[in-house]
Amino acid sequence: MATIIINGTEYTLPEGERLNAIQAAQRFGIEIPYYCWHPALSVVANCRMCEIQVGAKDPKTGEIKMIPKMVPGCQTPAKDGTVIVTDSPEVQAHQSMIMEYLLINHPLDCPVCDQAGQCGLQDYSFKHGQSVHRFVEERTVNPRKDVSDQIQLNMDRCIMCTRCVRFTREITGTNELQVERRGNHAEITTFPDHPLDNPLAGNVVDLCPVGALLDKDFLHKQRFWFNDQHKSICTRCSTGCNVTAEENRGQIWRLRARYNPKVNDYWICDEGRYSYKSANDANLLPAMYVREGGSLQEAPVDRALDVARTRLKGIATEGGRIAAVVSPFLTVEEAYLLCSYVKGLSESAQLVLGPYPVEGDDVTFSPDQRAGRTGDTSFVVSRPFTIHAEKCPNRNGVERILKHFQGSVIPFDRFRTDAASQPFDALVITGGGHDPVYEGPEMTSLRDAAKFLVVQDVWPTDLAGLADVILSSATFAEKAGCYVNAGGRLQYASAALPPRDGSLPDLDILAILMERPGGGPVSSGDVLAELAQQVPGFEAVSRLEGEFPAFGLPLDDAETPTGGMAVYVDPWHAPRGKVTLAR
Amino acid sequence: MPAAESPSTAPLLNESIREKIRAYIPRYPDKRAVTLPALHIVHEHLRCVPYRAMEEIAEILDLKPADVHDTMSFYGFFPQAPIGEKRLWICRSISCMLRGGDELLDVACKAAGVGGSGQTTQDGALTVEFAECLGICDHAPAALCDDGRIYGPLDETKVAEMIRDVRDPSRAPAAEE
Amino acid sequence: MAAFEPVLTRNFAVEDSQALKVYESRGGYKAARKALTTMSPDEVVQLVKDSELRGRGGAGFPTGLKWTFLPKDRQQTFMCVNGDESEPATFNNRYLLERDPHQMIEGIIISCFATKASTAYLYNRFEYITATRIMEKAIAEARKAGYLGKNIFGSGFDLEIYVHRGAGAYICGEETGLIESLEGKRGWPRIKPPFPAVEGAFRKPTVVNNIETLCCVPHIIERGVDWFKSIGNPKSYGPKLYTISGHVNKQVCVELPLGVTTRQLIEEHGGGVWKSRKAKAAVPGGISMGLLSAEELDVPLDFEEIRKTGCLGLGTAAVTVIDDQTPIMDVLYNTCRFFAHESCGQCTPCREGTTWFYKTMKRIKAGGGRPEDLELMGQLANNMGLTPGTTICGLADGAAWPIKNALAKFRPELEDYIRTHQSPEARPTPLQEAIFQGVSPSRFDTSMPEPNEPLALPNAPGHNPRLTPGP
Repeated sequence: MATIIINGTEYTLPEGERLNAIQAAQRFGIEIPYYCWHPALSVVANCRMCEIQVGAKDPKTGEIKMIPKMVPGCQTPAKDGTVIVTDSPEVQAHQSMIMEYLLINHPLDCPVCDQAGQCGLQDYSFKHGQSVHRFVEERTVNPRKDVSDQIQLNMDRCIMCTRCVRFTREITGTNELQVERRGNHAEITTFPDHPLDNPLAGNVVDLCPVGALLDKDFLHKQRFWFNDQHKSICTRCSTGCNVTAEENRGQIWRLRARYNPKVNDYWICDEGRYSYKSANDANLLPAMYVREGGSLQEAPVDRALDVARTRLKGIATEGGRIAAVVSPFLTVEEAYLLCSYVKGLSESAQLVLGPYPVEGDDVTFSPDQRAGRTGDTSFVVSRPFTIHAEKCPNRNGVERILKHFQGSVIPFDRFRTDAASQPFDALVITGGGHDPVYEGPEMTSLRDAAKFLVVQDVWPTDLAGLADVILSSATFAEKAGCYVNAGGRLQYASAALPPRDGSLPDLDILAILMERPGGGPVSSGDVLAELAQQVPGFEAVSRLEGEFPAFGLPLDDAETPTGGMAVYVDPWHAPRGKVTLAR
Repeated sequence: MPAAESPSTAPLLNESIREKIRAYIPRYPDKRAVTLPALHIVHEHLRCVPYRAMEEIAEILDLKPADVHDTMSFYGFFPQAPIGEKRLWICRSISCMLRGGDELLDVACKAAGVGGSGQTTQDGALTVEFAECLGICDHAPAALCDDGRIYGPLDETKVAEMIRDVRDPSRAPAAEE
Repeated sequence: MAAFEPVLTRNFAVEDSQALKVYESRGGYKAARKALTTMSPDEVVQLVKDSELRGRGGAGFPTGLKWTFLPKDRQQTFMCVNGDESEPATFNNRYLLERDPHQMIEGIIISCFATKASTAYLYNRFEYITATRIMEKAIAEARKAGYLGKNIFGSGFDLEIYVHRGAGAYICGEETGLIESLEGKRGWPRIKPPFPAVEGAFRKPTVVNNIETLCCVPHIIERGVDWFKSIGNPKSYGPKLYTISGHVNKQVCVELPLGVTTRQLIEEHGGGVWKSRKAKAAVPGGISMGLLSAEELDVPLDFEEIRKTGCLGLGTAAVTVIDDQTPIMDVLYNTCRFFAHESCGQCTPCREGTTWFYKTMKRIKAGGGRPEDLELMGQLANNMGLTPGTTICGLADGAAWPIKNALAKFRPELEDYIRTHQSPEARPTPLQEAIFQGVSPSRFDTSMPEPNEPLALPNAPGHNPRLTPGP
């Protein structure tokens, strides 16, 4: 146990934790402002914003000796007896001096800057800055440039914290970004014809504490404060990165990485970052459809569901052969309801793992604790980041459920071949992925494999066009529920968008189909609790007490403690209270 | 940002330059440390370090081009566009300034027929630049030619003499190998 | 006191002093042989520690003490010889390299032996073209003679020295900047800890020493601690190379006991102030150390006394004399220009502050100076650098010190300069002035509105002097 004194109050830190002053103070709700420091990157102490007064308490005499000069908090270890002062007039004067320096060449273009509202310069300028500026000389105006097709660098807004440069050197190891020249003329740049195009490139935009690095995909589209922030899970691959989905006016505007040391650390890949676009796609199914007189007719939700339910029930009663394709884009709750529904219809029903794209091999970035880094790296906890080749969020979870219901998993390709020779009486197909997968002759051949075909998806695919009933379901953004990532971690994603007109979230569709008692919308929590009681591999959920853990729930192993910071969000990204309109 | 100089795929650095660079590798525990020597070698041969050369240095040293450019651009020594056969620095630091160094830079530029510091004569023979202290303050106000010749104390007449001297190939010290 | 006998420069006047033969004929490499064959590394360290040799590069840190910071259980050590002597007006290291390269090599051999370093990098600034050539030749010669390479003097000690050329960056004279530059990166100084002695070049324990410091080592071995401590002043022992430049008749480099005064240097070695003028001020040891006023020219130039004048330290002992016809503003303009050009750009206060100084000085020189500029510069200068703890390295202190000293010692002259050098077109624009005052200029009324009441600001340095109540 280490006792540290912050602004005159004693706090205790658990033994063996290597924290710096910023991290230690943050534990106890005291904010030391900073720009260049980031827990995953080398400490360079170049912005000088986090300077504090530091001293040590003599354990024997109790005497406190302060270091006469100021010290950056990012390079000050919080050890037993460390004394930290973060609010003295000296520290405040220093902070206002740094703000004055940083704003010398910074344009006052907050009204047109995308970072406004979550900007380190804005926040600290308000908190630590001053309303006058004593610099009356000519300002340096640095140019605006592109560092890649996707990312723009407004160099005039840059404060040279070098977070982005360190990211490409220390995390991705791709070294695209560099500093050019020195002193007041230094700039961030790329080498000609070597753009910042690594698979994690977009993270530099999240990392940038000011509005210098900007994602052109989001540029000038929305003001940050208009967007509702939803805690979501990226469904692009089976890593299950934690993301914040920003929504406004029924659209997702961007995804940002959300800290989870057990899964994605502070990062997301670009593929995941831009995967939100499928949720805004204009071609998503606009309604539910029922085949009438040989052609598909748009149908009200209740009618479409009714037709599907009645027909399936009828086929089951007649002893028909039934199969269901369980998409790995379904949440575990949805997969569970689908399986219990189909198995409830017919004990002999076949459950098939739905198709999902596999692209190349897994790509892992393994930042080293020391290699490629500079200075004291003992505060850095380096964790690998993997982009999985398996481009679906829940293969792991769906397989667990399939194994419970029928003992084994039937792969989709085998099912397709078998079904061609031995057609079924009814087939329920689910989708809901980022891309339309049920396309082309291989997929449309499934039409001949079933007398009655229900397609529950978000895309108007070739196969859906041949179905008897199309149930318009939810994109990843429109539903809430849990996914099990490749590492067996159960994570909850909340819904970021309401259901589209004419659609229902899969969970509700299935509850209605199976005439689940209780009526009304189904809570994913209730279903999860139910499935945890029954399905092996989900016992950890039943053992859970209190809230669902912030970093998800490992289903197979015990949770290991997290090194470094328990919670991390840059102060300028943290919500600072609600905006209320003046009356 | 300017694009890489040439679309040609032929290497800019010939084998002998590459060999010279590689010869430095055993001196250091890390290849990256050869960056500065490599830049010096390239600069001696090409009188500049263009982007293409940086890419090739990066290849030899297992680095990324941006690493080499990052290092190169930090230092004042390496020009990206070719400079003259001789490079002349006029010192503007305190000892020289006190004795008129600041004014002599303009005089030297005029004498050499260039528009200002950092420019090269039309015949490509001479580049005149300012320098922050050349460490030859015993000659202040002083100038240094990049073949090692030191000039100073300078005055207006001596600047003209100096320019003539630097431009005269017969006066240059024997090149070292 | 016995007459001072120069040792560091003893070979300078000898013909062909760069040749190994000549150096040996004058007793060269005896000290190295003695150290390597009769002493243990720890004994050498102890001897240097006892001599109280202090680093000649600027900070005056005790050399022997620095060596003891190396971890005891280290496997590999690097020696970096700091020849990036870029402090303006300093050229004593160039003399040592050009005129007696083997003394340098001998110093490196002994110091590497003491610190168990088997590789030494001599980081030479690129401007020392001749010195680099001479050093490379001398190293080859020494290597051929068996003084470098494997098993030197049969002691089992191996050493290679490589010359590493810099490329024009003042900051590479800072020890961690030098290490970064040696590693092939931009010369951005590193944060400390870890100190180079623990984790330096290539992440191995590293010693960074100045050229002149290492040149002293052979003489300490040869003549002993008592000899060394008989020279100079308390806490500042040994011989020192002083350079004198600026407004003197003879700009020279001389070896003298530590503690000589500026006046002695000017009169006895510099041939007096040029043009029969008087000295108004002097820079004691490179411009980053600050300024001495005419009254302070009799202060001994050693590590301790000089600080009492408000200067940062002895620095490189490069004395620059400023005559009474030169405005101090010109000197400040020059130093501000230098530091704005040489700031590495890493730490915010230095990157922005040095350029701020330079731009302000440029305006004042052009005739746009305002009386409040001096106060503002003083406030900025007081809050930047290693001393207040706001930067990683000491470059910002060097930028701030001449300003602080000039304001303390020459303020009336500076104020007078601003008053008498006025040209309205160089003044800040009304908009800039308005921002400075914290008021918005109206679009319709061109006269500046007066603020109704002073803005509430934390009472802290670094604030608008007009709005902050005085002491």
